[in-house]
Amino acid sequence: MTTTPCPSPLVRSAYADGELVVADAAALEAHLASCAACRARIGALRSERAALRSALAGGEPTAVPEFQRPLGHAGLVLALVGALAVGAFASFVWSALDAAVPSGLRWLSPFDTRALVDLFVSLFLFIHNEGIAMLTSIVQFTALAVLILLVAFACAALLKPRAGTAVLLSVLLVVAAFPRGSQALEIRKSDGATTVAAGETINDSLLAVGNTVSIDGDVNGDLLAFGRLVTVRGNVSGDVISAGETVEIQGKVGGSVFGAGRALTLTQARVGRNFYGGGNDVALGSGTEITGNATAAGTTISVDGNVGIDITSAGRDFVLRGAAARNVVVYGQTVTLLAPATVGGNLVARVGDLDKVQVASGATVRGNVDKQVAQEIRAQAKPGSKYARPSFYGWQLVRLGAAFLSGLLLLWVFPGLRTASLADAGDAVKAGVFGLITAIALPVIALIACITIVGLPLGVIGATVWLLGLYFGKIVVAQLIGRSLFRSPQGTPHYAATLLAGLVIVIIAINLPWIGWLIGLVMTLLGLGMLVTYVSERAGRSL
Amino acid sequence: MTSEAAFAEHYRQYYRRVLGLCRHLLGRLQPAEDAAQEVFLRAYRARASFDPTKPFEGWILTITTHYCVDVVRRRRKEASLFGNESDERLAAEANDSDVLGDVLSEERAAEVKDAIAALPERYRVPLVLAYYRDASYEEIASTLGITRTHAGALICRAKQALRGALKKETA
Repeated sequence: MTTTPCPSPLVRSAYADGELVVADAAALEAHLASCAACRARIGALRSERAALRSALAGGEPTAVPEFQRPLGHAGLVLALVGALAVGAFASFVWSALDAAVPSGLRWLSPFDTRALVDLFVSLFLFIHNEGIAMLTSIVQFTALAVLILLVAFACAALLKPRAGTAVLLSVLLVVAAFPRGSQALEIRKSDGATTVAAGETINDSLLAVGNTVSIDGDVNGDLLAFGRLVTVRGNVSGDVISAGETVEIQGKVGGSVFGAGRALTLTQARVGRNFYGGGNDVALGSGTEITGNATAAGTTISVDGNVGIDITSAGRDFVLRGAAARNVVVYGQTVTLLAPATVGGNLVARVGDLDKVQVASGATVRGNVDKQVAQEIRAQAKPGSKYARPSFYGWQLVRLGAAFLSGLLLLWVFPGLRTASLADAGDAVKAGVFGLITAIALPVIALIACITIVGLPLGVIGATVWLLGLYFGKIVVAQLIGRSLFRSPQGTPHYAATLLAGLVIVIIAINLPWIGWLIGLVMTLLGLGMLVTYVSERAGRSL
Repeated sequence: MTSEAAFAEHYRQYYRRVLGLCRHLLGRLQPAEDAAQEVFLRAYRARASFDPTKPFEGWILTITTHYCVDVVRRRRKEASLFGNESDERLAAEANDSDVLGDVLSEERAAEVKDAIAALPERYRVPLVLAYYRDASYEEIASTLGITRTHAGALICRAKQALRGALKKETA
């Protein structure tokens, strides 16, 4: 009897799996009849297969987590109702605590309807007033936005290797075919000094960035200036939006001034609309005329110029030598009116100590002087640790409750976030970097979008998303912490439990002396990054 | 059309099976839990397309397989995740390692699972599809976009690699 050669390991493996085609199987079986060694091999292969199958089949965790059903239309309505309920509840808590809350702090409340109405009215006025002037640049801006979108799309396409080349080529063609020369925004930047020389006129909105920014010429549009030292001596027909270590404005501004800096000074400046300023020292120097309102926040705020309507100030020290045609509302430690200060309406002062409101002889208040002690401001003035005050702990509890309710809502609406995780250090770094980029880029983009009326709603939405992201970031991290705490082979507990535990840890951590702010910052950035990753993954899936 | 209640029942019944497949295909438990949730979410959205005359298990495991293979593919940038067919076949033919057979007793199940999880993806995925999902070589080949003989070679190589790993641990 002739013996066929023994089958190869590959053939034996397929045979043991029952995957050999009929003819080959028959040949192999004929061989097996005469070869004991191969019979043993096949037997071993079969028991190996059985062992592998039973090893794979066994031992999954016994707990089946709740199915995270996606939201339907009814669910979305419920979510909205839930959001309103949370808002109403928080508003109720706020009003219930009203007695305890110092009136001087009420303007901080997001539930203060008057402040909200103010915001919407000024937003509407802004659109109404600035809109006509900006209408001309809408088309140009749209063209610019389309270009930017195309370039961004091309960049994204570059990252996807296969379809990328074709997409990129078509984008380049479109860009090349696009009419050039229409830019709504002129951009000037340098590492050193960025200047617009005296006598020079820019008939566009201008974005100027540099170590020092000097605008001596005229800008027929809005001016956005950012630098260590920003000086504006020329005339700007639109708004001035500026931030820097030192910001000085000496020219004529047709629109409003939005400024921030360690020192923010207006000297002999004329502002056609409103002034909004924040900084360590905010000074409206003598000769300065603000047609609308002046709103300032900072450590020391001094007003030597004239303000057409109201002055609102929040800060430690407020000094008025100039004039306000209507009311002056001040929250702070000291309020001083020196001659020849004039207040056309009422002086409203909310201070820690009534003796710190001083109206010098020679200063005039035509309306009433309404001064009251605000407990929170008084508490700030008192030396001593914030940890020694019981109210501090009360506030942290309110904060915990609010964060817990918002967190529950967030995790309910987006179930995927319940299991959001950072697999390794690389993921954490990635999330942190994403968070940092988002935290910086989003407000800048929103600000730039606000320049034109088309971009305005986008800008407002962007700013809202940014604020929500900053708030929800820590909640996402809290859920991650809670989840990793209670992880066990039996599965994780309900997300509400993990969220609450995580939030308690987060709130304690961010209130730690010395390093609390750093922890808070890191958590916010991490959480923001995780949110961005989550949203982009979801968007990627639905494409 | 599957009703909400029926879907919830299917979920309870097949969650562990789906989780197991995700875990073995992806190699780690934590991403597997998320993947299992995602699979059921996709199934839930697509529940209108489910034919109730066919077994739910086959349907949900097909979704699971496609999803997890996609995840594995996305993790790797190489175009040929499953290697070259002739290389794998030659390697399979050349390796005549002793079959472990009965040595793999029940007590070593955890060890075997760890060894499977540690296998390279190109061996682990076909092996799991064959021995956990009970897919034929033909089905594996069409899911992974390779030939039937390539699938057989990969499974054979997977077992050879397992033998090596488990023998080392015994020694």
